[in-house]
Order: sequence, then C-alpha cells, then structure tokens
Amino acid sequence: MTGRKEGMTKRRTESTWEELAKESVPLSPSWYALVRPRVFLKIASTLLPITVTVTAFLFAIGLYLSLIASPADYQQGEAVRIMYVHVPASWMALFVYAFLALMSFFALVWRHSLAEIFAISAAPIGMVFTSLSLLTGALWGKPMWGTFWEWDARLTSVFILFLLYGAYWILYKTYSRRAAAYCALVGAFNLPIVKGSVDWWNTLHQPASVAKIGAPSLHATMLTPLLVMAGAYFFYFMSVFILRAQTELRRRKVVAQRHCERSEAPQSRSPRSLAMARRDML
Amino acid sequence: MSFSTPHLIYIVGAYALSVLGLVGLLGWAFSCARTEHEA
Repeated sequence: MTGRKEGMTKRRTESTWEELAKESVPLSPSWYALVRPRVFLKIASTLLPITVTVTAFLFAIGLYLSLIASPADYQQGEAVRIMYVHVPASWMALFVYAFLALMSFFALVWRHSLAEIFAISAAPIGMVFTSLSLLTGALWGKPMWGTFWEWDARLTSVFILFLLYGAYWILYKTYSRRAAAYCALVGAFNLPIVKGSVDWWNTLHQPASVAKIGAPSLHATMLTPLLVMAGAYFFYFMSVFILRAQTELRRRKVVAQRHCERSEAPQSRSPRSLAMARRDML
Repeated sequence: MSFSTPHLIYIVGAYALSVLGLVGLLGWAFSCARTEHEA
C-alpha cells in the first residue's frame, strides 16, 4: 500500500516537472542552445573582423564629417565639434550599463556562465566610455559654461554611473560575482535618472536634442556626423567586447582544466576546488 | 575652419583624450588576449 502510494507520488512529481519544463520558457533547449560558449566562439570569430572593419570605416567618415565637413555652431562656435565625441561616449556609457545589468540579471536568475562573462567583458568598456563622457564634457563645459565641473543633476548622475561601474568591477574582482551582479542590478535605477535629470530638474546641462519626442532639434549637417560617430562607437564596443569575451572564455577554460588536473590528485581533491572547477567548466 | 585659440585647446584635448582612451582600451584588450593565448 505504501509502495503504491510512493509510486503515485513519484509519477505525479515527474509529470509536474515535465509540465513545468514545457511551460518554462527560460529553460527551453532552443533558448539555451543559442548561448552556448562553443556557439558564441564560432560566431565571434566570424563577427570580429567584420566589426573591426566597420569600426575603422565609420571612424574615418565620422572624423572627416565632424572635424572638417560639419559647420560651426552659431552660438558655440567650433567647440560644438566636442559634441561628436562627447555625446556618443555618453550614449554608449548608458547602453553598456543597461547591457551589463541585463547580463547580470541573466547570470543571477539562470546562472548562465556566458551571461556572467558578457557582463564582466562589457564593464571596463563602459567605464572607459563614462570616463570619456565626463572628461570631454568637462572640456566642452569650460569654454561654454565657464567651468569644468558643476554638481548639477546630469553631471552628478553620470559621475554616479562611473562609480557604479567601478563598484561592479571591484566587487567582481575582489569579493564575489553574485554581489557584483546585485550591484549592477541595483545601479540600473540610475539609468532613468541620468536620462530624465535634464527634464526633471533645473540643470546647467541642456535638455535632450536628439533622443526626444518629436523631431531632433539638430540640423542634418550636425546630426549626420553625430550619428556616424555613434555608429563608430557602437561597433568599437562590439569589437572590444567580442575580444574581451573570447579572452575571458579561454581564461576560464584554462583555469577549469587546471582545477580538474589538480583535483585528480587525491591529496588536493577538496570540495571547494571541485566546486570551483564545476563552476568554471564550460 | 577658423578656430579661436582657447577653443582649439579644448577641441584638441577632447579628441586626443578620446583617441587615447579608445586606443588604450583596445591595446589592453589585445594584450590580455595575447597573454591568455600564450598561457
């Protein structure tokens, strides 16, 4: 009687799991198959030369348009040319952080090793974009506002973004990967603040002129070099990101192999080393 | 183009920093990739 009951419970549990597996979108095999490290490496090796070529091409055109072909602004004069390196860096700083937060979310929820690799590969690139945004913004601010720095809402929120990138990197490298992922997720609340800061508060920084409701307030002669430079920055990100992700994947493979070799020796077969090997094994 | 001298400093500074940052990051990524490949 007890055996029959156990058998029924087992069958019910199995069928429940099967139903759950069918319903569960994130665990579907097709979803996971697309993001396997081997598949990524295959796609990345094909994609990298293309992204590098497109980056070089777009930078060549973008620099020509922004430094030579575009006109000076009637108010800002020639200093408007700083916009062509400042604005794409700012857009990419926000985009890369959104990507970092999304990958951290995937890493926390599905514990997919590639998501974690994508997040840590994107972080230093985003940090450089944020630094460039702050530095080029300061160099534009001096001739236009008369000051390199002002603690207004936009500048402060971008500075917080820079600190968040730094916090993510430090936590990942020195403390724990999970803590870094949580930090990236919590920091994502700063993104709408950066975007909305110029509309919500009275700031020294001008409001949005391209990404806004209605037509952009920039003339085509200035909008074109800006968009070309933004494209160049995006493909630059793609190139460095692929390169970093490939490197991180290879590094983890080497680490996992070393752990496995060491764990084969009986004296060093500790549960911690086996757990680390399992975690890093791809 | 007629750049006024003070603006020229800021424009050159901004572009030089951008090139330095982007090329530096690319160089770092390549050096890491090479070191890992050798390892």
